[in-house]
Amino acid sequence: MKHSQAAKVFLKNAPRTQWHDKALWFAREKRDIQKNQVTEWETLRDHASQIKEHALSNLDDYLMEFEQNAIGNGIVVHWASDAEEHNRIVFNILQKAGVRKLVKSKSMLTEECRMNPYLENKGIEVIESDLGERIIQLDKQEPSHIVMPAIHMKKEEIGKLFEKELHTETGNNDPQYLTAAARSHLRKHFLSAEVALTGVNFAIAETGGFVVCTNEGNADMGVHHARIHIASMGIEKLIPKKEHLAVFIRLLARSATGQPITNYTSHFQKPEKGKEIHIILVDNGRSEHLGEEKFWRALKCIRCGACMNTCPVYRRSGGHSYGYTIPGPIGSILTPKIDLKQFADLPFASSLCGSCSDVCPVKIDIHEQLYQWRQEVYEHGHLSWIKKTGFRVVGKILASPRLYGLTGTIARFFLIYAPGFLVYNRMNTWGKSRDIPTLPRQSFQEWYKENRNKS
Amino acid sequence: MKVGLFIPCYIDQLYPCVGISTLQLLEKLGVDVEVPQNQTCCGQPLANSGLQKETIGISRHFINLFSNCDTIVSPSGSCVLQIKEHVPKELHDEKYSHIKNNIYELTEFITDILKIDELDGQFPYRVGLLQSCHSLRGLRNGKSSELAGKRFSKSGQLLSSLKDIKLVDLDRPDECCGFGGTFSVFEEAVSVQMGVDKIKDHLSHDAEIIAGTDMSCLMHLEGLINRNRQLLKVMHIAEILNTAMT
Amino acid sequence: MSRESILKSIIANKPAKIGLPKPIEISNNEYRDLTEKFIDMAKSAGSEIVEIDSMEKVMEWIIRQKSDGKVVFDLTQESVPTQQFLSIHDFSNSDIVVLRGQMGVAENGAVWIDEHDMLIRKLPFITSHLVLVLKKNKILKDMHQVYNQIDLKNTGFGVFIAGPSKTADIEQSLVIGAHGPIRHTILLLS
Repeated sequence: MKHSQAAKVFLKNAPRTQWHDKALWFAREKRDIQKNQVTEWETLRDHASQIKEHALSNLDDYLMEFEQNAIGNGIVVHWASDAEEHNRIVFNILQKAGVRKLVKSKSMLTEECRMNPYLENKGIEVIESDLGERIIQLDKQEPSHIVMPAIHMKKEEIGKLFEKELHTETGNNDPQYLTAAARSHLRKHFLSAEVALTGVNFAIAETGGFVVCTNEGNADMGVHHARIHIASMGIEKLIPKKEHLAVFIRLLARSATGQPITNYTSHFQKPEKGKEIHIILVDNGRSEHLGEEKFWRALKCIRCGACMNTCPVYRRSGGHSYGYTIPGPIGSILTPKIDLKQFADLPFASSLCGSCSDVCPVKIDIHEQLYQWRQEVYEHGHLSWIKKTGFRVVGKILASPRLYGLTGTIARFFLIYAPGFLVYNRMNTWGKSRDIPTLPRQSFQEWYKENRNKS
Repeated sequence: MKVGLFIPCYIDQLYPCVGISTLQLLEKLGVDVEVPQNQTCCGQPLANSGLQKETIGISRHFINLFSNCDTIVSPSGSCVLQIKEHVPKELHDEKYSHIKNNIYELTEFITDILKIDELDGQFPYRVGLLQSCHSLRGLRNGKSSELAGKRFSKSGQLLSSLKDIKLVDLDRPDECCGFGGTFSVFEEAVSVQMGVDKIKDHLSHDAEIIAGTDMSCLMHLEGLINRNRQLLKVMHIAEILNTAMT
Repeated sequence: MSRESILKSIIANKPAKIGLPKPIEISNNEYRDLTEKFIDMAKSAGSEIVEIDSMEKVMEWIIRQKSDGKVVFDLTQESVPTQQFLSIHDFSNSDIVVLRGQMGVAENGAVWIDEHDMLIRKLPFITSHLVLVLKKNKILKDMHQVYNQIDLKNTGFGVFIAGPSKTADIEQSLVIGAHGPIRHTILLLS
């Protein structure tokens, strides 16, 4: 389904839309409060952006530096060209260890790779341990937000789900109670975990280590109990030096959830005695994306989700309306690179208001890229015939003052004198919920000629 | 200084009163205004829909029409932004760069070029300011709420200098109204909801008038207000300033 | 193999080299009182703060907790538990774990600890109540200053902890006590 149609369905439930909009706006407001407490906020954004651009423009060198240092730390480094290879590597590690269960924390990369269904097909039990992700997994849904995966669900729905899956009390929807139920349910899995997987927020070339941020402590509970820690990361997550972490850690949680720092900011350098750490460096289209002159800066993204919280369209259409793992503004500039035709409507799911670019902690020019993707959609012939032809005619008219004056007069005449049912018909999308302006007798140019330009 | 006035197509055709107000306001401020004849459009409806390539004809016409003016002023931040940022590369020559560097949205022209921060006028109404996104985040005629640092707004500055005006505080002072050009039709449902919410924010703060620097955003809101028979009026800032200064 | 093909593709596609920015300059006198700021921020992250003036008082505080019948693992004393001690416990029943904190961060209320402080990595996470002992003079202004002091190369694992584990995944309502500790106390030692 196209975004505009999915949005229409979402909007049919007005109270729910309003609730969704408010919940996410609340996250934006919390972010604003944090931003106002950091005097050098804009300097930090500039820095973060420049560090990322530097790292991406030297990515091959930094990956090799990282690899060497990670190996020196006793970490096993794997390289995966695509999603399939990533999933195979994970499966092979599990198989070699003789383990049939994977306890994992949230990772947008494994979502992107569709890892869970892959492993489940091979008989592996995958346990999502982030509360939001676990809810989504139990309900057989997709996350609708990259930081708050279950933000589209109401507590009543989660209560019902837990009643069925975790045998909680009937009708108890208290978030405190439901969280406690999930805590004891997942604790069993943590204590018995043998292999645990996490994502990676930042990897540092200089130290050969990486950082994982969570609030729930689920990543740490998993990996510290397990024998084997697998960390999956997109190659764009690399930063050059330890000192750069300060810049990014200061920005990440403030932008994402309006906290000055996440509860746990865990730095993994070496495996614990007798244990293993495997890191999988995943390309899956990223190296090719680097070659897109207008679009490579999208790879600066640190997955904070602030662009979703601020986006007036996302808040009123829900994450699922975008039809991809990463929804919202950032998703709409990543997806066209994956499949321009399939996602041709996403660059248009924006009013180009620019709020996303201003909120972005690494200063990705998101709305400008949305604009540029629209040009690509047209140039590759993915704009509908009606729009294409219509716009070309409009283009001809607007390039010619004579045609412009003529059509303007006719259009106004038609709109003034035609009966209402002709104007407000099904073809007129504008008029479905909006009146058209009261039309003037003459245009500005006609007025000017009559009143000022008597020569 | 020869100032050329650019009246965008939808103002020309649908809201000539805004064009007239702009002209009269500039004249009251002592500006020698010229209105080049045969103006059409900036090309934005096409460019924002992906057809920037097809705006060569429109843009060439615009450049030829205005290249003799020292300065160009327009009562639309959105159209000014289109000229500054999205004219096709093929037309990037000296004539164009002169235009690019000397075209201003009306309120920024008043505050930055005429260096007028306060106007002598009266407007005894409760007014909500619609910070049009292209003026705010495109031309930076104000500081958006996403950015850190002291807030400012050039249009807000001018409005607040009027006697007896009450600028109301909104819950979401610079959230997009949902117009977005062709977005208003391509994504009709979301666009309408954004407009409805914007109006609600104004009504809940007892605004009587929504003032804006872009008539296109206001047209979208006016369409909703009229359809839903709400007690709220939209006015372009040129109309307000021109009325206030009589 | 994939390694070579990925690197080759990056080299073929990467944009022209962009330089690193100069290290960031941060004003140093933003907060009137570092301890005060730290306490504020730690509290807003859900930490309980107990100001204490000597290590002996820390001992007393710990003994008081024990007398409630709680299982306490205290790693702050001179006699560090042996490997044997560590291997006989799975710690899943630990009510309280007391660790030394290395540094506090005023801007966010977080405390840095690394592997040397926790001996085994799961310890600060599995307990229901984590207690960190932090010297007031180890509070630094911000993350830049702290990272300058942290030596990642000489540790296997380190973590910033800011308050008890929490989640807001259900309707954005904040719940304290997700998968890690439900309580978090900082004993601030002057």
